[in-house]
Amino acid sequence: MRQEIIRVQQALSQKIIGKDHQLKLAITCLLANGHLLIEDLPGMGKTTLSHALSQVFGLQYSRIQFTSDLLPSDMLGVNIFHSHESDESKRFSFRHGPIFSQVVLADELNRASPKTQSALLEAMEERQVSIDGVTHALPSPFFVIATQNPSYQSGTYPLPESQLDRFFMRISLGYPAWEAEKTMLLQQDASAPLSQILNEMNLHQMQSDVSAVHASDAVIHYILRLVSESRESNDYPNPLSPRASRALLQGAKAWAFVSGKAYVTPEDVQAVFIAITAHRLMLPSHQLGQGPQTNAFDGEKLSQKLLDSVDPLAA
Amino acid sequence: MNQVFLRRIPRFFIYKAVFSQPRALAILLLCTAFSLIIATLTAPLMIWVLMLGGCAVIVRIAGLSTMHSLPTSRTVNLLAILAVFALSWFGLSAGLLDSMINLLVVASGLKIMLVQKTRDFHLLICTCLFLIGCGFISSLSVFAWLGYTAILALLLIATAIYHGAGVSIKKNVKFVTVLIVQAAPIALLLFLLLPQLPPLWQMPTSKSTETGLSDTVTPGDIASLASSSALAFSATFDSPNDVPIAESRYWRAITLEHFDGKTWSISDKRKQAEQQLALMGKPTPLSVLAENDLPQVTNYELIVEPTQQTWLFALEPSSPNNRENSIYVRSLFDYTLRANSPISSKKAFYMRYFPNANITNGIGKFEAQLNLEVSMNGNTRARMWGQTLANQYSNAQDVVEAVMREFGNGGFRYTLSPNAMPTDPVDRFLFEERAGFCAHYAGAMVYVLRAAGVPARMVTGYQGGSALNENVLQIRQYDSHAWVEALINNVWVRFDPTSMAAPSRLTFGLERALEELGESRQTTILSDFSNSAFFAALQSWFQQLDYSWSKWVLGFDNAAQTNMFEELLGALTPQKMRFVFLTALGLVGIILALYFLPKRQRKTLSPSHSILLKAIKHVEAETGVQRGNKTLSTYLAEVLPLLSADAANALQQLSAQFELDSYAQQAETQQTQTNMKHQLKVLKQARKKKS
Repeated sequence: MRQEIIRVQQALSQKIIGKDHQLKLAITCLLANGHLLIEDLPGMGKTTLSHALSQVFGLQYSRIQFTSDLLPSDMLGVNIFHSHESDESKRFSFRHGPIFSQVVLADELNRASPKTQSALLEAMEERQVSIDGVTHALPSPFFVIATQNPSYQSGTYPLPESQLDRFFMRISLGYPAWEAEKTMLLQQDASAPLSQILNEMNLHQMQSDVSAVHASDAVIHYILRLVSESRESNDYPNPLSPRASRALLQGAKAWAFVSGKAYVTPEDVQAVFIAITAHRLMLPSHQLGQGPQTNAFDGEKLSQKLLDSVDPLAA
Repeated sequence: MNQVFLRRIPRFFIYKAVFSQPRALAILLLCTAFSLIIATLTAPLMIWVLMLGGCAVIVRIAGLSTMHSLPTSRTVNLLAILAVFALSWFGLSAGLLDSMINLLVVASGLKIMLVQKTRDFHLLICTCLFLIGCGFISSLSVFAWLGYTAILALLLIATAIYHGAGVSIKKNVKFVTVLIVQAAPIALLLFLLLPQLPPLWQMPTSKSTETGLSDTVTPGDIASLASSSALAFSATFDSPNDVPIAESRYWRAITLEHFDGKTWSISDKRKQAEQQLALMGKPTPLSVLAENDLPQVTNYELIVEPTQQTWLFALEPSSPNNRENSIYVRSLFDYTLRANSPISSKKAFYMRYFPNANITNGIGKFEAQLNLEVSMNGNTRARMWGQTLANQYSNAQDVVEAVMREFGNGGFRYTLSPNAMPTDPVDRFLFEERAGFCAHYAGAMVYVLRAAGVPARMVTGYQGGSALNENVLQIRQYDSHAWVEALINNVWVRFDPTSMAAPSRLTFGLERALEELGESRQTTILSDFSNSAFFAALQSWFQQLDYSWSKWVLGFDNAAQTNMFEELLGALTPQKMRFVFLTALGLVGIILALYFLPKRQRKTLSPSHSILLKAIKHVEAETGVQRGNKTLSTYLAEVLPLLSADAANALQQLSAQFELDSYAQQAETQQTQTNMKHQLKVLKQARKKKS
């Protein structure tokens, strides 16, 4: 199992060069059965990453490009009436929308109208879709990678805090380093598809292995201290929810698993902490000034501050 | 009808919703406390300041219910500027202390309208605490103490509610109550055991609180005192037998020897003479008296209400017992007493009374001459009468007796509301009105005696006093009195002309005397109530309580403290004092520790955890790199290159072991502990080797 994880990491790093930490976080998120939010400027490799992930894990992949006129039914699917059939077989049949895939790339999520956004987020949370009173289960595993343009760009509907909370992690790829970009430019077969390394069964097995990773009381207390510090101190306008603390534990376990350990240490919690909490601690965008710096980085600063203010070795 | 109903209900719900928010409730409580405080500060506050404070509170409370907007900070700033002008205008006449209190109230009133941030709220709480301190300047009674303690509790509850979002009000109140109860034993210990330091600064005297006698008497002044039933002082005797009988309870305060035809005042010549004699170091007759061992001496204690003056009242003649007084008291040559600093708060003084001693001529001939001066301003008939008396009788005693007889038989009437006598007051009183009170009688008599060639002076003070219990007398402002001293055979003899016209004034006090004369002093509502037995009992109970408070709490000064120590420990040595002081501090420390310690102990560390923390302390000391809140591996990465190979190895093993123990699914064993202890030793040795 460990060997396969390393191979997955190596394979992904051929596509996204020099972003090992973000890749590891993305794998962690997938193994923790959470949804990933990638916030970046256009052209940073968001789509490449999600495509590569589905390829190496051998998952069925679809992509929804969100626009302001995209309707929920465009995404979820519709009931179609078969009128040209003979009388006996005239009936409604459900045509599955693009959301019925194992990996869904929801591109530029914040360009869609709130109605469509919440339809997606509901599907993410319930892992099922109800249309005309019939419930359709989504495939398993179900993994949404949503990308978001920074909210200061024009034509965006910022996601409300309640919906941000449903994303397990938020990462940001950022510009590659000099050497990494040079390697990327020199690469010959940039568009060649990656070979499948794992299958669905492996993924399910890994996900249950992650849940079995041991988290001692010391680690759980550390998570509780972090969370209650965010609630007790006045510095955090949006304190962390129980959903966030559960995500922290799950994320830390997955990180420990990806790192090849059988138990969680505070280092694992710290490694995933910013990715899991930054978008939850962030000030609501309407309370921040306009500009490229404020929104994206404020949450990270708050997360880092929270990490620095709690001693991992305290009893 | 229906419409009215509809309009009312939402409003009620709005209020209910608003005050269920902790912050709004906290501000409401703060406003209540603030208005209670300014209500108790009515004496130093100016009317417009009171009104401003009240309006601010109303505006603030209305503003809480979101239906009314608060004034903008621009409006408040404008108000502040206006208030500063008003304060500087009126402050000149109010005196420094009062205008400062006014300023504080104005400032916090304006601030109350602007409370938004936590900082504002804390600022106001602190200011209110300071205002409570200001309240204690004017009153130290047990009721003030109880009231201010209640307000203090209110402020604490407001703070608790403000910060305890999500905690029920009941819990907050319980929390504050527990805090106050915990603070009580500490306060008691500090009060009983720690030495009481003198005040760091002197209160500027405030004009509005000046009470009691004044150093000039224009007949009419004492009548205004007579309408006040405020307590002047109380006297405690060792045993009921020591309490003097009613007729001899003359509490001497001031001798007035100069008369300008209208007003009696302290003579300037007397003041100069006193100063010169004091410079020469001549002992006053009272100090001589105190040194001689007289057989009949009565010790008693005075608890004096603040007068902002230096003079004291004492049974004549009494000398101060300065060994026990916290303020040094001087005796003067006219047998009056002066404290070294104004009595600005309730104070206890210890006195020794010599019932059989005479008041002698203190400065010899000078006194006789001073007290023969007759003002030639008007009052011709009185002077003529004096000369006639001088011709009629050869001896001073006879002259005095003739005048007293005249007051008894000449149809004189005692009243507290005589007609005004603006010109020739003595003549008008003696020959036309024949009605007046003590100051009229005493003034007229001294004038006539001086005209007849008998040295005489007016003495003011208090006469009488009601028994609180069998050995405590309470003397109130309406007991103020004026009487006459005439120099006969070099001894000042006391005569009280008032007693000739109203004999019951001396034996039964003013009220009884007035009752007999069909008159009453201007009564207050309270004194009407005192006719009913229940209220009389209640009143006397309150008086008793206030007296005990004054005696046991306010009277607990350094002397009383020393007494207590001596009773408990025997003779005091510096070592014992040090021991007592340290025990006091220790006890307070233990009480505080009892509160804080249990929390610490609850967190028990596992053995491997404590060994690791010890190791980290060593490493921190050696490398100078503090761990802070870093994780173990981050810290190791920083520190390992700085350590020697042995130490680095030991530390790495320690942390690996710790990680296994606390994070992995594995029970801690004795084996790993001994192993870790060994590594810790290696770490210590490596450090020693290095040094």
